[in-house]
Amino acid sequence: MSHIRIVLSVLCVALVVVPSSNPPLAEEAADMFECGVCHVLRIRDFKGRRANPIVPVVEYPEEPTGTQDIASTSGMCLSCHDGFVEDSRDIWKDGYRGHRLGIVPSEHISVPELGGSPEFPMNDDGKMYCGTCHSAHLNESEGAPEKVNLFMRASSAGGQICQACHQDKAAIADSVHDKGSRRSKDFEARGTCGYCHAPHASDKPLMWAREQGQATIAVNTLCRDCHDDDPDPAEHPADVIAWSQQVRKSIRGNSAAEMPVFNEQGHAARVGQIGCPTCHNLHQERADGRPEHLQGLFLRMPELVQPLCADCHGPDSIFLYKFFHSPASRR
Amino acid sequence: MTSKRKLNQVKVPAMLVCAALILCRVVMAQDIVTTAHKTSMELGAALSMPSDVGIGKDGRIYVVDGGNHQVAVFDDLGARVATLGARGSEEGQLESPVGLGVSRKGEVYVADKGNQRLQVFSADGRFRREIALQENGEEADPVDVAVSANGKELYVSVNNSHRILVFSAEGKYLRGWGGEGEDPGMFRYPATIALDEDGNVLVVDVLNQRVQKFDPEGNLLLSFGKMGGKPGTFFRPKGIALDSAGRIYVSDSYLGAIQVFDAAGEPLYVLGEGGETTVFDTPVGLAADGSRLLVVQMLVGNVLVLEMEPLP
Repeated sequence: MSHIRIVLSVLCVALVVVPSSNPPLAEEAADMFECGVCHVLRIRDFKGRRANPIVPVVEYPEEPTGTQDIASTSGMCLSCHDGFVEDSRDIWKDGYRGHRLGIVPSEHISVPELGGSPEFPMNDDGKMYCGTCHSAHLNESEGAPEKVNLFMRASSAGGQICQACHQDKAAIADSVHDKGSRRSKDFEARGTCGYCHAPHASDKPLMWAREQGQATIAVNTLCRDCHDDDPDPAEHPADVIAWSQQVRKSIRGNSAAEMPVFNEQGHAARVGQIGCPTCHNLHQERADGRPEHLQGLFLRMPELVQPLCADCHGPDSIFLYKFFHSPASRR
Repeated sequence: MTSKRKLNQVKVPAMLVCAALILCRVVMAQDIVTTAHKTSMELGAALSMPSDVGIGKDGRIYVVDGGNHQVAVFDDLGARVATLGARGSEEGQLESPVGLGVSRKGEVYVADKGNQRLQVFSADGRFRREIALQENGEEADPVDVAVSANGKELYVSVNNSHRILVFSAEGKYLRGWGGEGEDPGMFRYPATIALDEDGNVLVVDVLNQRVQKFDPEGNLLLSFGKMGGKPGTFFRPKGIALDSAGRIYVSDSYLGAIQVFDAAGEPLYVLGEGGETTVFDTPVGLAADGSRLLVVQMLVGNVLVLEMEPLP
């Protein structure tokens, strides 16, 4: 018994005598650098009730994107990607530029799984954050595939990472809006989605990567980058503000077709202007299940049930719409 | 029996020592010694992701406005008076600049990281020349530059080779030291540079969480700091400045703290008041001038001019 007490005493003394600022065991030292470089609470100075760091940190801070591990906060990413180590300053320029964060994936999004866990995880609040697409645990090395060099969870080539969640956009592949389009201007090999969208390099609507053409309604300027052959395109009046699908649904029940409306910055809004993408969705030209007569027109409405037009233009607009979009009258 | 008595004799003092040391450890939790300051001016006109600051001989303040790919110039009263450079790769243009240095003559040297060169502007803001940065045929991504007191040597921290390169003012490569690693004299992302009165070179070594001091030839003289959260340690050290008394100021961009060290690298203070650290918003580049300390806050996009309480 006495031996045990002595051993315990010696151990206790040893633990106390070795101050926390001294070099830790080799294993922990490695752990501190490899993990502590982002997982700040691995560092002894920050953890424990008696810790008295110059600036305290919390393990799960509340961020604008929701609650998440301190190692995966935007601030932690910036602490290296600020030009002094890596340079991704454009992401934080003017606030934040990139895919919307802090959002819960809509019911249309199906996040794929990998080994029983989401391949693209959300934060602790179930919202999108930097770690949804990026992981620092992928090792960067020379000659590594792009997804590793950019610490991406999937490659951006061919729009793989985008289409993993946005499966409904996959139909754009090999359509006229994909690589090789006859209307292509200056496309480079940036992948199916990268022709038009640049998640961290655009301050334009919809992360638009290309030039914007002339149009009265902001969102139409995106289409007009290529569709610029008509100097005076027919646009819906800009001063007409319509309800989004979200509002219409809450007022009058379900409505079959989603017809987004846009604010003056060109972003989808609850109430807003009617632009080209209100009726046309270039991502669905060849989507399965679309009636043959709508293939190639990129029209959102496969069938006309309470279309947006009728809200203002009355039921007659349905017949007009049907007439102008039926294969027979078009011929 | 004898052995048992001996054990008992050992046990009591050991327990007492243990209790005393535990008590000591609790009582002597390291206090944070702070030094007070107040903000006298804030320079923030349209800056985007600023990263470094320098002071010219006439009191002009030069701020690397990296998000706008230019350098913003303020007079000593804080009014914006000029802009150096614009985005591009032509003469006088900049691409993602990070650091800058101002010579005693007032020339402004900008680390034009995206174009792998230094851009040199005169004190009145005119483009003077560019210096292509290479070592053994390898192009260098400059992070910061410091100009020797006589204006003849330029010390450049290089991001891709983790080295410090020395060039003549005309742009001739003279020597270099360092390389990627954690051993003394090596770097994991050397960042900002400051020169002391003797011409020694102090370099913030970001991912080794330390500051290393070299003589002008690259011989290591001193190293202080390591990864941690207590006074004297760092998490993401970025900016460095020296005051006229030789004290060393180091910013930590993640924790938001600025620490003050003596010339031997011993921690003196943390900027704050009453033992409470002042938390700045992503403090990066620093510059000291008399009793003033200039602090670049990257994310909020401004430069704070702090009036420091006299330090003992």
